[in-house]
Amino acid sequence: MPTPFRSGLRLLGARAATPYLLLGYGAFLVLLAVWSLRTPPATVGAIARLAPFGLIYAVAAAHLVACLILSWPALRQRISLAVPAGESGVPIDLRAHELAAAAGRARLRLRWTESERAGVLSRHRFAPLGTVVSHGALLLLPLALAASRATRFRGDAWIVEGHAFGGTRDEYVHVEPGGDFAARAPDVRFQVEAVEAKFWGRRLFFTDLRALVVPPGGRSAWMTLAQPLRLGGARVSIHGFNVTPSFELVRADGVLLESGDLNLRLFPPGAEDSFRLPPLPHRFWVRLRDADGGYAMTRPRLHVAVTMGKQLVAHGWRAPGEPIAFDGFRLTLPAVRRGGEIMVHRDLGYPLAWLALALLLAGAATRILLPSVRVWVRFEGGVAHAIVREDAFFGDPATILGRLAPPRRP
Amino acid sequence: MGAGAARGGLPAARYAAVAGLFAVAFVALAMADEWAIFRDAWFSPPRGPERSESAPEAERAVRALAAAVDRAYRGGTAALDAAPAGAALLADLRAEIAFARRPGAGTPEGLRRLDVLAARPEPGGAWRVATEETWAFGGADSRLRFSYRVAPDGADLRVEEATPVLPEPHADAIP
Repeated sequence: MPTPFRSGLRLLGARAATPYLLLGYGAFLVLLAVWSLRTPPATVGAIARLAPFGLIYAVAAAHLVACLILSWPALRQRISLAVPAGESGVPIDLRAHELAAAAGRARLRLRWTESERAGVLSRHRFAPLGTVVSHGALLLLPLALAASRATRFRGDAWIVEGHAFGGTRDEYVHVEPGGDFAARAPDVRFQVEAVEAKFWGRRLFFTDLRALVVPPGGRSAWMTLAQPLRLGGARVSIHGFNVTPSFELVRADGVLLESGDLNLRLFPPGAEDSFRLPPLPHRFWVRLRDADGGYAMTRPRLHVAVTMGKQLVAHGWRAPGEPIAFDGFRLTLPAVRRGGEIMVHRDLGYPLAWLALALLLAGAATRILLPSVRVWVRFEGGVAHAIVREDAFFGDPATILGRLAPPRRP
Repeated sequence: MGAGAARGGLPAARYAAVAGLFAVAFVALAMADEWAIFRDAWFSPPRGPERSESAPEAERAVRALAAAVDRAYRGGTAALDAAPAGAALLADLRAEIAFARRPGAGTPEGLRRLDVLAARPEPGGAWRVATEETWAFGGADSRLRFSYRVAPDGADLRVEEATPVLPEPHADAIP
């Protein structure tokens, strides 16, 4: 009489449900992929986290666990060395003292019991457990998602050569998730020594983009497009390039009023950005181009426009260091510095997801590539009888038996 | 039992039907949750030439602010007190007008012409209004385009941002 628990388990782990659950997931993933082409990622993420879909994840996980539990007795038999009940085996032409050599020939490990005049030969006996490992790995994915949700941090920031990046909230342009910055943000700090970019001829394609950074108390290291750095437990990658000028504001009588570095976005050439210098009410608009064309900025030229309310006060192209005069002041942009856009990313769900993938592949490879072989040999009255179990995708019990000894004709 | 299953193969027709049912169910759930996005994408009429029935209110707010700025250039920043603008923009305008009216700077002559080029709705009941304006300063006209962000303030609209839209400088003029 089946107990309610066992009945429920059988219902939950019904093999017939597996293809339909896989179909459901397939349809769901295909739709998410299609939506992600045209819909903002936040919306796709919101859809993926809907409660009914969460229910489907839970049902699939429960189905997997039930399948593993239900298949365990059969699996245990497939790794057991106990003699299969009710089988006498086939007679083979083999003497007891030849068994060890025959096991070596067939690359099988021999366990001999002298008192019973019987032996068990085996190879890759536990390989069928690869099924459990590969399927169990899928159960790590919800843990990876939970870890990701609890620890995920992504921040985008601009860096400028010659300046330090301190990893404070103000330095990030964009942070995900929005709240809880202090608890989630990794300790990423460094000094930017240099930023270099190479382009494919005069086209806006990077062939190289890298930044030389020095963490506090650490050694300098290059962060490149292809090779992020690991700092403070996070991956720090560079994926954007920028150029930004320094400035000097001088009164008409030559007195320097203010100077410093600006943090403008002037790349790609032609991009416009602006800044103000309070208490002056003016706004300064800057564009940058290379007089030689292209993106190498060998001869940078800055277009500076000064507006004040409804008035365009002054404008014109200037080389670095050439002043533009307006309303009794002179503004100079003496130098152009290179910079880059970095992404700081930390997600403790990733290691778990990679572990799940590794276990999935290892389990599947073990199951497929390592055939499990067990042979029971018993000697009675000088005659050997063998029972063969070969649990392999491409196996053939007769081949194993043939390697041990040719079967005797009845 | 499908024909494929009867022959011992996979019941492909049944699997395809189930996959289709799942897809329909997923789309229905997604539509229920993110209805605004699906409605805008599938059922909203195509947008017209950046105008709508309530655009005149946004245009009126922009013109009222321009008129207040015009009066303030000539008569002082007190004219801005009742202007339909946000606090940050008003502070900027007061600083600009005070600087323009500083001693020895000459008297600004004010607004010559204002043309509304476009009004485009933005999220939250706001509008983006594009204008071309001609202002006279010291005997010379300054014609510039501006982009205004006009947002609801209770029952009214007020201007939150006023940004000049500068023409693209000619690359030929690069020295």
